[in-house]
Amino acid sequence: MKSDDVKLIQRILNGDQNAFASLVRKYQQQIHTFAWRKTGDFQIAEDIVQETFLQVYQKLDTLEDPMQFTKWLHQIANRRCIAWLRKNRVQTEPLEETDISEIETEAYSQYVATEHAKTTADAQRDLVEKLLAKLKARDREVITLHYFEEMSSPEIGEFLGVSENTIKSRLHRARQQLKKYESMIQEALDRTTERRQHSPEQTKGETNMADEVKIEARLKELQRQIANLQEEIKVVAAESDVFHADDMQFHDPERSEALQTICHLPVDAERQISWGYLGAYGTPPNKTKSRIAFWSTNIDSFLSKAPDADLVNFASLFTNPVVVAVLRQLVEGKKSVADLAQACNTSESEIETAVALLMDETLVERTADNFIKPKNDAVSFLLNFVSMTIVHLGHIRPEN
Amino acid sequence: MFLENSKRGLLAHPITLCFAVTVTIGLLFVGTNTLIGNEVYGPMDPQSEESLALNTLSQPSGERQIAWGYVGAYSVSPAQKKSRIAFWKDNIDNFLSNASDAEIANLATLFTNPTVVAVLRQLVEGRKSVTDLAKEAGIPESEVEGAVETLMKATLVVRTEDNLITPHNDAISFFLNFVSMTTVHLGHTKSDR
Repeated sequence: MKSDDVKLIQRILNGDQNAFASLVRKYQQQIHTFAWRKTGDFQIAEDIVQETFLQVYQKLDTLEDPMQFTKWLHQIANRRCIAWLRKNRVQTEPLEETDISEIETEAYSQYVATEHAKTTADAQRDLVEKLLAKLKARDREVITLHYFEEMSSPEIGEFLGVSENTIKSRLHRARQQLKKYESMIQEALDRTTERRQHSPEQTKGETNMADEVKIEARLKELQRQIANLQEEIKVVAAESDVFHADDMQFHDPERSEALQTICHLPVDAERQISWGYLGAYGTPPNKTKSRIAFWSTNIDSFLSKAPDADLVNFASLFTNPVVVAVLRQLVEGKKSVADLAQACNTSESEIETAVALLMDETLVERTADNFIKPKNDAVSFLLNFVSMTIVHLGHIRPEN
Repeated sequence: MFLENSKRGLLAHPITLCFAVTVTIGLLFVGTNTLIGNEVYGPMDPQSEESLALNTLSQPSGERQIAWGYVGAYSVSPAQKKSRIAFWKDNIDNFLSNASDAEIANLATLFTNPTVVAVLRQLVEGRKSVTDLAKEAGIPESEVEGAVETLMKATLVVRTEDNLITPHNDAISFFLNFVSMTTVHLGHTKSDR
């Protein structure tokens, strides 16, 4: 996306008007929503969009890093909104240009409309503020950009200069938090609906059509935002306990939080890595095993630990399906060769060959009573292969 | 052994060495629980959020339950920070049934091709041309093209419009997992043999 912008900017700087039109089309809705949210006025937001893009056009050659375009664009829009808010807290119109006969009706209907919108908006704002206040600052920022600025995860990532996955994890964490307040949202939504049903009666004949349309549009927008939020919450609530690698959904607050922490690993410094495999599993009778193998270090140092040849040798061990089958059985603990053969549906000699390979690689050992027992990271490696294969199958199946 | 591995890596980077703590997290589980082992490398305080998060994730889940996966993040340049979590909490039989022996063996086979491994190692840095891949890996371009084809079939790389090879799906995560496992495995084989 950034590279698309860079190309567009280059074309604009070369005088391509169509490129500028493309850039405006791409971002005008986003900037309008942003400005509307800031100013609370649909039409003013439209003006701000125009002013913003005018400034973009005039100052584009001063943008030092075209990769930072979206951030720069939002900064311009934000400054425009702040300027408007400062200058237009009370909007006035020259009296001589107004039809005197309309003043009374207009003033009263304006007052009713404004009060109506204000009451509804205040209630909504209170609710949203209360909900957002419960979130961490980082999560609040992402939720605001997602639901109120209607930015997608990649767009937010670009805007804030963090990865899309980080944005997804922050959104996920925020939704999990907000899930606790579903009843509060429902209550507010009911209140809004009630107001929508009663207000037209109360203001009939008192507000003009333009005001009604504006209020209705704003109410619809607010309701849509809350309904979206509700829908998201329902989706999260319906998730199973299985963590989906791509969606970052893990319905277990402690582990979810832990995963998010790891996802925000301290890799701010260039060429750093924090990587590893970990977990726990329980097999009867009452045996639970856990394992963490995790590195937080310079990426070159990390990669240098496993030369290509060693990596290839290691991988080759798992190309033997009988070896894999034996390791799968050993997740349960030590077993005899006869039991392994039966469970793997193969001959004892095949099992012995696989066991010999695994013993040579220090991944199993033979006990004094002639059982085959997993050793070192044998089971962890198998579980890692299962993890990777699940992910890989998930990728190749839809694409094939 | 792990301490040696850690030191070897850290010695190459004096700044890291200054802050480095190799932590062997204490025995967390007692009674019927068996600790396979916990090794955390690098500059990590045992009380750090990261360390505590790792411990939380590795908490046992109950009989015939598994909580397992690979997680991490890396940065090769300020503009390229990537993170990945693939983690499951499930019944162990369900989890294992999602990948057959043959499917596991197929994935492993991909990593027995040294050119594939060399290409993936280069792609950790991000997209590259075949020429650059060949040059940096010291492999003829025709071989690199062959490896790229293999990886494309496995949906692990894609070719961009400007003819650059870009890692796709979990290509880099898989490679990093192989590095992790090989590192651990080398540590074990060296000490046990």
